[in-house]
Amino acid sequence: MKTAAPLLVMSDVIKIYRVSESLFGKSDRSVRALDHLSITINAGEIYGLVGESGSGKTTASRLIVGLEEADSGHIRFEGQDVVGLRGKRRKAFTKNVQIIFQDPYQSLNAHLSIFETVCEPLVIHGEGDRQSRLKKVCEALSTAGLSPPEAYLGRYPHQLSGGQRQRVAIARAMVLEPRFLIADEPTSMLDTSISFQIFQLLNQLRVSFGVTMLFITHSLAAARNLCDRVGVIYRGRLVEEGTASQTIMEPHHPYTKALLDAHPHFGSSKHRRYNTLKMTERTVPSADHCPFYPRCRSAMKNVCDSSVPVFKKIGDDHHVACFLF
Amino acid sequence: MNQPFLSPSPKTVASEDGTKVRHRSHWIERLAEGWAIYKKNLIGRIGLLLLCLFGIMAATSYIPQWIDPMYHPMTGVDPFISYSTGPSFSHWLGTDNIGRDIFSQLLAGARIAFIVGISSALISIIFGTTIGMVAGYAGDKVDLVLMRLADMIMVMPTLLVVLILSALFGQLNIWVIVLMIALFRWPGVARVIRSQTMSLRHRPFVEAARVTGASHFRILFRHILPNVMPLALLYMTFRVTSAIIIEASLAFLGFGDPGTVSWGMMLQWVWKTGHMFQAPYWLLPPGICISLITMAFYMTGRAMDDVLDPRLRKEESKR
Amino acid sequence: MHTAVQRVSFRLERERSLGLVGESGCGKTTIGMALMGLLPPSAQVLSGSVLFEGEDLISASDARMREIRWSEISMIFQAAMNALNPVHRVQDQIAEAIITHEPSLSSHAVAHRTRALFELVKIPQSRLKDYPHQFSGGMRQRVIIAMALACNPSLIIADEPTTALDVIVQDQILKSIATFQKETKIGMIFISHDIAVVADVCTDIGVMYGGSLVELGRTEDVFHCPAHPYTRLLVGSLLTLSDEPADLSRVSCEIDPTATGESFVGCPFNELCADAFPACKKGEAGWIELSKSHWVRCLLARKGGGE
Repeated sequence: MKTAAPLLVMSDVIKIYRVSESLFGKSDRSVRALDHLSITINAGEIYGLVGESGSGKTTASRLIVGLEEADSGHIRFEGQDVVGLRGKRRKAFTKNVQIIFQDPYQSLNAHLSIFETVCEPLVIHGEGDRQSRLKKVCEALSTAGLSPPEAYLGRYPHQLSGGQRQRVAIARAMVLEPRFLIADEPTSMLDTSISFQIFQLLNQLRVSFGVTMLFITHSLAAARNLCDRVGVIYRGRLVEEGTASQTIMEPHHPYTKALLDAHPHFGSSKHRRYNTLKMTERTVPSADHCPFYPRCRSAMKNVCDSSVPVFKKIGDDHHVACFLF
Repeated sequence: MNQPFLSPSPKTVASEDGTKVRHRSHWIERLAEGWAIYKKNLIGRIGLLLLCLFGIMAATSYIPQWIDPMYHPMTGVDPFISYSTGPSFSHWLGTDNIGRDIFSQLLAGARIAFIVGISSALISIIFGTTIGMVAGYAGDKVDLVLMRLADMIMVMPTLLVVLILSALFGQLNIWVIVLMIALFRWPGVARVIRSQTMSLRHRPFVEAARVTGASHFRILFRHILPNVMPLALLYMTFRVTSAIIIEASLAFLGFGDPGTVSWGMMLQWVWKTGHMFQAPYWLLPPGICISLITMAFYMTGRAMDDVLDPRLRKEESKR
Repeated sequence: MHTAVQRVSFRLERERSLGLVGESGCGKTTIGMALMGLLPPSAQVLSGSVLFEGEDLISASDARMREIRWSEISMIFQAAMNALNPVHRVQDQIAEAIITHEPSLSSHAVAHRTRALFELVKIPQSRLKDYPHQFSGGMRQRVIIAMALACNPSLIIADEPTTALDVIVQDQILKSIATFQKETKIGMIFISHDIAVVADVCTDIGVMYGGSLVELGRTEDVFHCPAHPYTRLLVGSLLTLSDEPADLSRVSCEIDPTATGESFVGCPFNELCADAFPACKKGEAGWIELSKSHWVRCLLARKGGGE
């Protein structure tokens, strides 16, 4: 395994949301969106964060770009702490770290033309003059697959399809040539064939620009095909992490196995059933037992329900948080 | 890329065969779309028609001045008449108690109604939108302070306060009246704009701007304002109606600007000179005009509501 | 005037399920609505017929359609889980569906059937008296399925029933659907944009593009030996969990769904097809039988391109 320098390090990050149930008189509840989450992403790689809704994967991305602040723990980009950045340092940070959102229908301002949307980052950071900005915008649009770019400059988002809008969002994110790109479920609102093209585009970006990526998804297949390393997140905790092929072809954690079982199989060569899931109701997670305990068929009483498992190394660059190992 | 480079104007688009094609400005297109929907609304058409009529009245109020620079509806006394007369050929609506032409007073009143209504509404909206946006965007303490201020002003009875102030400071200038009406009427707008801003604040495109490093100022005026403006304009039509009525009430009660001829002023003269039941040609026109213009603005506002709603629906995501 | 759907013909037999696959805007939901007689007033069926157990639904009266709806054909709408009334208990909503179509049933029989339905979709009996907001998304979808099955229809139309759900929940719902279909032996039309999901659940697949049906056949045939270039594109776009990672550098064509079959002369896929030739623009390809259970509408097939 090549060991490149770590670009982004999240260590022991905790994020809690307070939910107050006023209507029926219940007391204030808090939800741990992220519970001691630690992720290291190396320069030049695509890291896939796989999890279902409510797992905390989107929260993690929001904390990294600064849309929200972590309650505890550290997030370091190129060695520098990113929590609480202000002023010039924050502006320099925004040049290097960009995000693509899930909903292409809402992530573009309907009142701005495509040119204005993609040019905005350049304007905010005062890059170049009018001519060079136009050139950069056209370049970004072609890289994102919108060709010829001149045809798109004067158009508005409502005139474009979902896939095209997402490409514009990608162009906007890439126009400043950031070093780190977060793609938060970029294809979950798009049809299958368009999704494939977006994956191709993201892969191409890594090849052409060497940009490091955090790819957030609920689809293991997408992670397997696009990412170098994969982390499986459940209820705010990382339960398994390793290279894409290892984690998916030789899963260890029962939750990873459950995700693999649930994936559509028709057409795949191998068809293994792990059967690690119990059919139960969703329960409120507790901090003093393994988050997957209520649903785990292989759970061991008095072991799995008494404390939280630690992230253990089980192979070359493969970690699991499970008492079974 | 072998495409010929266009001039750096985002509004020109190359068509299929390479010739330059001018692309209509976004706002003009939206106006055209909006007009197409507005046209279908009967109430809107009636309202707009009435407004046009009043607009013509206001415009023609400049004609007498143009014909005779010395003429002013307040001082232009007919040398042959010195008491109130009914409609005739020389005076279409008759004369008031000292022989001034009522019709030209009516026209001048239309001009004042528009000026007062629109400038007061404009100031209200600019002020209210800005405060609403800042409150909705900043949240927390700023929001709390601004909204308490808005609440305090909202509960004050505008007319009463202006009356008291003018009693204290004597006769008020028309522009002071306009300003005061505006200052009492912005909270309503501010509240609505604030809630819209609060929902926009969390939309992905605003967050994308934040992630890119946009300053708060930029986000407010480039991203939030265009989305909030249609609502602000809608509320402006309602502000106009209240401004006109307040001004008319002030004038009627004798607290208006004595130098300006407004419909409320005319009503005051009818009343003070005891001609209320003797000169219907003097009493009715200003009263009817106030009611009609208020109704016209209101109708226009309601039709605009129709225009805004379906378009807001179009912005939603589709699968 | 805009033609949403044209030249669609298929046949569904009892106990079989047809998956209608296509991108958004291809007309698949329109077909579902047409079958239920729920097209908006501005829509018009210009020609063709829909024979349900021998009866033409297009020419049926409104009253007859109301009789048929829900008791013979029922539908699970897109994003249906948000369509439950939040102020009524779940068992009451199902009971209401039953009573509306079978008013003669006793309340005891209705309660019995409600319990049986819950068992069919695998919701614990203890949840019968709960309100919709107390259920998770997946459970609500099961309630919707139970409601659709309430009057023992012979055909159920499911429009994107698992789109907003997580992978694990989606898998469970699809399994329940497959199970109840086997148990109750009803026919199903499953509408989705995801051909992988459809391939897992349905016995037959129909592929739609630009308002037309371009390929039709048994799942094994269509999925493993796609004949139409568009089907090949859909199948090729699937990312699978196979041992080898997909080749992301291979070229695939850009689909612009906003350009849905404006010209209904010729093949709607013509503009984007890599293998198109002049005749594709002008000629209407008729159905070409590749095998007893596999038809495709593509001139390439005639030219020996079929497998």
